[in-house]
Amino acid sequence: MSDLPGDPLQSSAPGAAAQDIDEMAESLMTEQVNPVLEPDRFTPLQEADFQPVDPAYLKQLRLTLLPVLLLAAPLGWQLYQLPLTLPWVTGLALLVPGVVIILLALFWAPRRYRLTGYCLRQHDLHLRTGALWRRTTSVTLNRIQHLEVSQGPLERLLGIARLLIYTAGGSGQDLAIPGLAKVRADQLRLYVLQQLGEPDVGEREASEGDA
Amino acid sequence: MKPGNDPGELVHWQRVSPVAVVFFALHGLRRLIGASANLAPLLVVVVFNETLRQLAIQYGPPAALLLLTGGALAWYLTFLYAVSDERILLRQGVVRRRTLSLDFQRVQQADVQVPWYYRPFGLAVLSLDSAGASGETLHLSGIPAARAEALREQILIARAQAGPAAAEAEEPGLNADFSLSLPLCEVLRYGLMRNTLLVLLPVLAPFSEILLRRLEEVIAVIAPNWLTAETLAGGQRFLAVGGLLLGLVLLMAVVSMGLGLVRYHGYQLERHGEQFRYRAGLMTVLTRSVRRQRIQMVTVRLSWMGRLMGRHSLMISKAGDRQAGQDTEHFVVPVLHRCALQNLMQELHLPLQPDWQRPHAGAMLTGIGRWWAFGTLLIGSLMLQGAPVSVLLSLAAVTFVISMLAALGWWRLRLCREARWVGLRQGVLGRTVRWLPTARVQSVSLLQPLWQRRLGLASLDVRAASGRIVLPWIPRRQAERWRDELLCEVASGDIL
Repeated sequence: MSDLPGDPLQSSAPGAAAQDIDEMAESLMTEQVNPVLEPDRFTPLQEADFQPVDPAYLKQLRLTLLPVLLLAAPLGWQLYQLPLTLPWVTGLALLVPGVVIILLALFWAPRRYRLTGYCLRQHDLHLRTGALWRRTTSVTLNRIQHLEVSQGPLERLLGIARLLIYTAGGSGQDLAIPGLAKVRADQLRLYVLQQLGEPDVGEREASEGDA
Repeated sequence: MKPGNDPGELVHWQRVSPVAVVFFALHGLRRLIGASANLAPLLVVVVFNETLRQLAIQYGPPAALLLLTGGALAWYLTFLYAVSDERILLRQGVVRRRTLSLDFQRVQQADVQVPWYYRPFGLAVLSLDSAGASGETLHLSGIPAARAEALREQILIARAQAGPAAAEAEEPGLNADFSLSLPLCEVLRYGLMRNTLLVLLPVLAPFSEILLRRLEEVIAVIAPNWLTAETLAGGQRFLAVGGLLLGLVLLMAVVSMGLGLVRYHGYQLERHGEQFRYRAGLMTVLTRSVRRQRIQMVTVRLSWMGRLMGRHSLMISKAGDRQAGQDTEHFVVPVLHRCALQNLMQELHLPLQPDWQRPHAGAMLTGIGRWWAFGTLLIGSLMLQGAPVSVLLSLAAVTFVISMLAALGWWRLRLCREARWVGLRQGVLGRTVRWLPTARVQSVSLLQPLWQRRLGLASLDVRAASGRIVLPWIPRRQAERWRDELLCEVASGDIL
């Protein structure tokens, strides 16, 4: 049960005009997914429904491992107390976190990237994440209060974004879809906003984008 | 709340009773105490500087008094209110005048309180919570009690007309669809049941020696030759400590009963249509109501003390409750015997005989394993540092006891999914059952840690605005089915 048409990156160059995004969002709306909704019948969520996130997310995961190197400082301090020469201390202090980073980058990051996915249906939105501790979070669209597209410095560098979804009354976001291509994140946001019955939001923002 | 600027509307401003100055002064005092926390660094300087300290002692209290009374008077003089058919307007502010307008339809909660200083004058406080997350409560203080009640009724009617289901707001005691009142003995039981003060006992236990010594000093002053430290040896000393602790327990029980009585004296619960309402209090009478549609979570609690007395308590969390777990903010039914509980559960449409399900036994094993792993690590590291054997042994014993308690907790845990409710039952000595209405679910998460995935199990984390329920260690297929059903119910909630 695929819900979105082909990868937007293929059909739109980076920095595509907001109008194109709007058109894409409209084409999304016309596509009917899990339309049957009766209390006694429900559409089960299938693993195959999940869309993968952008490959740049893998790079982001690997880059976010780098702060582990900071562990070298306390470790070096501990080793410095032992009767070791300075080259040994530096080497050992860098080696241990280095090995940890390499192992995580080789095994954990690809697994986490592979298992991270989202699924947008007509009435609900799902996020699957976690390499060892797997979690699938689901929110129905009628509970969504507002949406945000957020881009940290690293994400801006990689051209990806996070879609944050807030529901009523909750503290903080209920769902954060990481590693989305910026265009795809905007597209998803507009689509959900239009589903929520705020068509003018999309139009207004699209015209702002043009200006 | 938005500034009221309807030029066409003729506004008839009214002033509240002059007695409201007391209310404003108390409010001001509360704010002054709140603000003084920010001035702590300044206070330190004042305390350690001789000249400043003298000045503060000499002029501080009169200045504070002047500030309070002056502020309260100014507040009273500038405080005006007006009521129209649809909204209430408040105008206040000494320096910067603000006009607030609150539409009746946007009122989330309307409470009427009668503080002790208002009682002789027949006045009351109307507290209004508006929709929106700002959490600002609007107090209309010092209006006649009858007027406050009438306004409350008017607001309830306006809100009910705006809502999908009309709730009839009627005079208390008249034609209630369900009513429950708590006699004095039941309210006193609540004081005994609520063991928050008893929690202090273990904290006080290490100080029992000091307390005993103080007691000895007091006795030595009163009756010098009757009891000396020498005669208090062995068993006598033990008895004295025991007696002291027992006395403390009794004192706390009495204090607790007194506090319970102040809050819940004359408790009267009624249901009018979809509206539940209670009225209680000895000094300050509080009226609080909740509509069935706004219920976010129902918690039925049976404390270990309550188990001995066969009494439960029930708490309803509703939309807009700010501090979770605080009794003062929630809709509370403090004491319920079994029969009354059944009746009330029926009124709330809670399942009377839920189909409780046990989580997988693996939960218990990981519960034990987690504590043993933690204990082993701790004991191992202490052993490497050469800690004495007695310490290690006692740590091992503590770890064992805690792990057994954790296992018992898992053993007694039950979960269920009934029509329109998700429930979780927990507790080792007492018992807490939490019910979350499926119509209020905000998000659902399916959790699968490594070991649960291997066993084909999963946990379901169901979240609402005022809390969450985790249904742990259930078969994956069942968890997925429940998740899909819940999402379907929530998605179709607005359509139906």
